Order: sequence, then structure tokens, then C-alpha cells
Amino acid sequence: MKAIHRLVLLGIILLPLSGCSSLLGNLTGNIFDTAVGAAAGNPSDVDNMNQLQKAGKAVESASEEITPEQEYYIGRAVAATVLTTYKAYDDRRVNEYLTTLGRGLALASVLPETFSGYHFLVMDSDDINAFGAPSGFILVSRGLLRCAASEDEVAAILAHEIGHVSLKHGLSAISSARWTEAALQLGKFAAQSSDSAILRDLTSSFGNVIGDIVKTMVSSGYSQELEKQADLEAVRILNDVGYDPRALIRVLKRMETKLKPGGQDFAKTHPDPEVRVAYVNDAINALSAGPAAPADRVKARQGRFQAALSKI
Amino acid sequence: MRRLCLPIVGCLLLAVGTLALADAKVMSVTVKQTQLRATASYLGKILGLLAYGDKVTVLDQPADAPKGWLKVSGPGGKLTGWVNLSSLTTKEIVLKSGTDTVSQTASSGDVALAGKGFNADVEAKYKEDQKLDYTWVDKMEAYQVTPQQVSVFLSQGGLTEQGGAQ
Repeated sequence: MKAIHRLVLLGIILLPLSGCSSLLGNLTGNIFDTAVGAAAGNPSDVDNMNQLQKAGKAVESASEEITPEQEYYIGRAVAATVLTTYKAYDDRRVNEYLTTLGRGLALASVLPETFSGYHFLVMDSDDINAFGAPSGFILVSRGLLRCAASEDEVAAILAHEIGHVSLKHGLSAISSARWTEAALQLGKFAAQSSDSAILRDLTSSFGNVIGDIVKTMVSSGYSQELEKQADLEAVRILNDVGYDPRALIRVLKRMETKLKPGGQDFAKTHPDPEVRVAYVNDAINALSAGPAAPADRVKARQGRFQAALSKI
Repeated sequence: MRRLCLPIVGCLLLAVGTLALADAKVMSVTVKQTQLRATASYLGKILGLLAYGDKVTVLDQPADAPKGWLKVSGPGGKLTGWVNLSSLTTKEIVLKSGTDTVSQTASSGDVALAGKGFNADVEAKYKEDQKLDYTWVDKMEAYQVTPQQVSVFLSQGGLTEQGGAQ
């Protein structure tokens, strides 16, 4: 009889799981879910082992599983941190122009909607630099915008950053150790500490996560592979929306003439523009180009580009 | 024996309920706000707005349904339209009331508690600890550019809305 009960119970446990697997696929989740359950009961070696195993599972696909809501708070903190180094360029017209253009491009990305949408801001700096923080907080310097001679070229700059956001490159900069730390802290404190203790340790983990992302974005740079992914995604977005994807090549070449060797901007964090031009060119040649835009539409783009950015 | 049977019956009911939910393919809105549209495109007429945590039922998809879009019925089954997949999750999102947002309740693999983990409370403490200025982050988030303005911008430039084509 006991054996029958065990079978019934096993079936009860498995049934919902099989049902859930028929869903459309698990799009988002929460890294912390797996670790929280380990907090129940008195700590023991077995419990600790369970916590470690569960935290390990949480770490496996951390960047894929973090919820859009949590990514949003990470993105806000990363942007706020970058803005301690770079001052914001306080010009509503310019910032709204970039926001309108950028949101149009984001619609063609693999992630058209983030928790609060895509947001764009110009940094008041002569550096040639840009950052695509998680959840769509995109910062572009005046120096980089000066490398663009047309709306298509501004679009190329923004599309590259949208590529980083939509492919979640920022989250990939978070080390697995950080995720382990965050997951274990939640498991450790959830059942036995006050909320203020949870908040303190969560905030500490949060700070470490932000540190990892900012360090990669500002100092060490993404890997050449991730930069290539963002460039190729930019080419696809530009072509799909109707901008000239060769605008990316033009802006890269102009950037190459302006970058200063040893600089703390793109010169430090991005592959040589010449290298990028080579693979971007190959990608464009493989595309089936859409029909050219009517001359009056191209003129309209140039007119609004000059109206917004002529004094940048 | 009786004590064992009651939980079993309860669990069976729960399991059946979960299966029914799975068969109906219920999904939750995972962004602050999204739109239910008449056609599978960001150009489609907006039929209604969906908020974070709202549940939609995924309907049978037409054979020619564009990639990245799902035909759904909105909360209560009143409206039927299209939603971009990037704004939905298969997890049930539990919106927790009150200010105790870091509490670790209602968590499982198929349930996401809104406001859990890195949240507004964590941001507030981090901001205070680091003396971090969020003024411009709030400002950039507040720039008012509507989907209609984006649509007009693209149209005037001879450009097209791809609507999450992948």
C-alpha cells in the first residue's frame, strides 16, 4: 500500500512538470528561485550541499534567467554609474531625436520590448564612446555622434548598442561567482534573518553585479566575438528597417581617423575599426538589399539629422 | 491512511489545475506595459493595453503568423489580438502588494514574484550607500516619445517597422 502511495505521489509530482513542458518554452525566470527553497529548516551539511547544488543550477543560465524587471534595475544602476564619469548632455531636442530613432530601430531587434523600453541619452564628452546598458539604457557621446555625417550613420551607431542590449551582452559580463554569491545569500538569509539583513546582502550582491558590468563596459571591453555579434546584428537591423547598412562602414572608417591611440574610449574597448569593417563588409555582401528609399525620404532624413545634430 | 489521502487528493487537484493551465497556454506580461494589437505588427491598431503581470491566453496560431508575435485573448477573454513575444513569459507573475518586496514567498520554477530580488528597495539602498545620482537616468526614462511618433518618424524617412522580426 505504501508503495502505491509513493507511486501516486511520484505521479503527482511529475504530472505538472510534464504539463509545463508543453508550454511555449521558458522565456524568463529568476536566478533566485532555485536557491530560496534551500533556506527552510535548520542548516546542516546536507542543507548546505543542497544550497550549493541549487545555487550551482541557478548559475548555469543566470544571464538567460534573470527577469526583465531585475534587468531593468541593473540597467538603471549601470547607467547611473557611467554617468558619474560622463556628464549628461542637457539638450532635449537631441535626446528626443535619438530616442525616436533608436526606438524605431529597436522594433527590428531580437528584443523589441524590454521592461520599460529603450532609452537614449547623449554624454557631454569629446571621447568616442557609447554604452548599451542592460534593459535598454543607451548612452552615446557627442564625440561619437560627430563621427556621423547622416541619419543612417547615427542609426548605425545606435543599432550596434541595441545589438549589445538585445543580445544581453551586459549580463554576460557578470561573473558566475557573483551569481553564486547572490543565490547563496538569498538561500542563507531568507528563512532566518530580518528583511533589513536580506536587503543589505542583496544590495551588496547588486553592487558587485553592477561593478562587473561597468568594469567590462568601461575598462576592459567586451570580447571581440561579442563586438562582432553586435556589429552583425546592427547590419541586420539597419537593412530590415530600410537604412543603408553600409553606413556602419562609413562611420567606422571616420571613427578610425579620429580615435587616438591609447585613448580611454573605443580605442581601448573595441576592436580595430579596420577589422570590423572587413567582417561588416562580408555580412552586407551576403544580404539581399531592399529597394532604395525615394529621394524625398532620404532628403527628409538628412533634414532632421541636421536640425537635431548640426551643433553636436 | 485518511491523513495521507487528503493531501494526495489536494495535490491531484493542484496537478490537474496545473495541467489545465498548461493546456490553455496561459502567459504573463513581463514588461511594465505592452499593447494588444489588431494585427501582428507594431503598425497594428492598438486594441488595448496590458500591464505587468496580466495574464493572456495563447490561441491557435494561424499558419502564416509572423515570427515573434502571438495571437492571444486578453484578461477575462474580452479582447483578442496580437502581442509581441518579447513582452511575455510562460511564468505566472505574482504581483505582491505592500512594501515588503524582498520577502521570499510564492517562489517556484513556474512562478515569478514581481519585485523580488534586485528591486526598487535594493536600488534605493544602493543609491544611498553609493551616493549615486539617478537624476539623468530618470530623465532619460521620462522622455516622452510615443509609439505613434516613432511610426510617423519611420514613415517620413521612408523606413519600415519590422516589429520584432527575427
